[in-house]
Amino acid sequence: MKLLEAPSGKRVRVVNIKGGLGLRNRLAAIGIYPGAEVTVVKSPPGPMIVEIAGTRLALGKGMASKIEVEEE
Amino acid sequence: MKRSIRVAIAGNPNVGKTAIMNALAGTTEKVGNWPGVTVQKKVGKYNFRGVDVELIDLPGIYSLTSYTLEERVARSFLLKGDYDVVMNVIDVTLLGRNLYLTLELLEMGIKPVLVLNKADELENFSVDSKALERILKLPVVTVSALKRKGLEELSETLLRVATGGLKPEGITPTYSEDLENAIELLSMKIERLITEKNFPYNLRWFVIKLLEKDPEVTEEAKEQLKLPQSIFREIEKIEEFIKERHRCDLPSYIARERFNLASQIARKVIKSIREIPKERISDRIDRFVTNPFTGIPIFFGVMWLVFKLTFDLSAPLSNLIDIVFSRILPSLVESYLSSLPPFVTSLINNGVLAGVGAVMVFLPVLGILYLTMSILEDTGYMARAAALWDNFMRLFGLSGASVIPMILGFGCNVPAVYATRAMRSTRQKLITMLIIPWISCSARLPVYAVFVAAFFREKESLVIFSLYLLGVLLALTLGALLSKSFKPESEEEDFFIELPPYKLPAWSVVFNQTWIEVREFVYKAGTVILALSVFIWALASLPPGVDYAGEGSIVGHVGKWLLPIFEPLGISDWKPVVALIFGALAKEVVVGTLGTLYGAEENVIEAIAHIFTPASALAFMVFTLLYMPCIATIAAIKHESGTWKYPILAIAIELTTAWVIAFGVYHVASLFLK
Repeated sequence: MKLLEAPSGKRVRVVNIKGGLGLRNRLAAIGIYPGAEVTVVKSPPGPMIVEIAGTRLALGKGMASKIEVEEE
Repeated sequence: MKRSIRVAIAGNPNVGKTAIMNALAGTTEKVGNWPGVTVQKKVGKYNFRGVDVELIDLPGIYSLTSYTLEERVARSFLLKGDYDVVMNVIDVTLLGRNLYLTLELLEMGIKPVLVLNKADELENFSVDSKALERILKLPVVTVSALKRKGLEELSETLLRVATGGLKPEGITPTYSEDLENAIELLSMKIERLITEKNFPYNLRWFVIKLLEKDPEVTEEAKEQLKLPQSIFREIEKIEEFIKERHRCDLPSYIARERFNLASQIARKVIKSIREIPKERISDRIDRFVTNPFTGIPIFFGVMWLVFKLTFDLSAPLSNLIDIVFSRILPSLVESYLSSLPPFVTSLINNGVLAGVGAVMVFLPVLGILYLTMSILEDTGYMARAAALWDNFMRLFGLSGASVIPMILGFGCNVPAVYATRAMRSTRQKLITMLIIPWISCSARLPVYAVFVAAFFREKESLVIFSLYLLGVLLALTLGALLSKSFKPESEEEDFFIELPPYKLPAWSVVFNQTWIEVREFVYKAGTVILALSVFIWALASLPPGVDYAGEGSIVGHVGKWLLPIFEPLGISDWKPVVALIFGALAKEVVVGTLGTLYGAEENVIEAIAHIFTPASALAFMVFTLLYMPCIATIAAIKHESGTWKYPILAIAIELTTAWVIAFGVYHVASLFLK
């Protein structure tokens, strides 16, 4: 499923990122890469909030729908 | 022994680099822009044991790739090597994530001094800095910029490393077998080429960047090194292999490896004291604050509070400053300097004092606004507000981070422009800066009030509200247009906002920051505004012997000369044109000038009722709203963007739009209003 669809409180694993090299590399630098574990703090409405490696990030809708995840 | 050393400060965003710099160098910090780009450059200087230490704060970055402007700025500075030592600031509460950048520095061949900041915030665990020192073979200093602890030891360590008294060994980060094999294979193939061409980079770093498909390095490899195509085919083959084995593209795989190593190291040095609760209170607050249903009312409440505090608290101070500059000082000049020629007293009163006064009345507003803004920033609310508005603002090509500056613009455009400083994306920052002048600031209200009183009694609020709305709609439209014409920095910028943990503001940091910004404003804006106001004074007083801003003065002539441009807007007299020219100083001056010119300071309303028609009054208000930023805002845009290009662009766009819209308003309104 898309990260955007993951419910609040779930821990998910990134499977794939649909996007160009620049996008994938920038996401990788903050810890979002295939295999990475992400905790969903809050799902929409409003921004998607996730926690990766101790940092909380708010992701835009477009962004969160490009990240494919699976439940742990 | 060296008499001076240069220290580059590298680290992730929000780790406290600037706080450390201020703690070390006091408030002697210099703020500017990196040459050619609008990423902020901060430099601080202090003396330690007779050695001048220069600190250079690099932009906050997560990694040393070349995808964002900040990353490119930081990386090219680090590659050039114009420094004696690199200090890598780490937020010790996020050790694992922060070590990622440290590993990248080590890959580059840089052996930084590690600074574990925020040691005072550790709650659930402690960090064994000696163990970290052994593992990475780098000097590690634990500090708290907030509590001013560990600073002496930090200076000492920096000095020792910079002068060669201490030579950090530094490890070479090694990764999985698959990655190491790839690095080795590629290194063998290009080593000879690199040595032949006398290439300055560290070979291993260069190879890793090639594997990461870093755009800059790949281009250099193609253009300067002229690496044969076979090398790039080799990289493709490696990627195929990695994809098959690890279900991951090559750049992501390398990032993963670095994260793994960083968190392995972090695990070895972290001693857990207390179990971290599964759901924290802050998670619940976040859900509340960023959910549109609850978050938007909260946001408006907070903004209302900021406004109330800023303008209520500053009003008495601003009035006092205004009285000093517009009455007390001028009357002192007149009574004590009356022996001087009249043009000198006029220069002092109408040029220098009026101009400086126009800046100084902003000072209390700015001071208190900065204070409230840094409190919001420091508590962690600002990032949440930006996240909340992001989706909406994206419709106009802006980001959530532009909301706060825009809202501040209703109070005063000057601090609004300065508030764009908190925005990470330079492109968004520039766009926001350019659209702010259309947000109707409080100085425009007196102009509206006078005209509405003369022509639109009983419809006051409707007319004024429409003007505010027109400003906002045009600002958003311009934002959407500009975002199409300004080239994005990367394929999707600003797509994430880091939400720092909630905490109580650190007062020392808040006050220090406010002081730095206020001082900067007085100095920079003061010089530009002084020059401009003396210039306008000269236009109003020359040739010698004319009435100030009278018919015979240069402005009078300019007013008459420009009148044909304003006639299509329904303006038939040169005096309102002069009022607009003076309005460039500050918008509220438009009213004062009309009063002076019609010799009716006390009853401007009556005077304009004879000169304007309802339609031309409407057009004049629209023109006043849109035509150009005041000089304090121009100075702010110049200061924040680092070049004259953007204030000039703003003036050009605004003058044109103002004329076109006022023209339309005049002609449409003429059909309906008698």
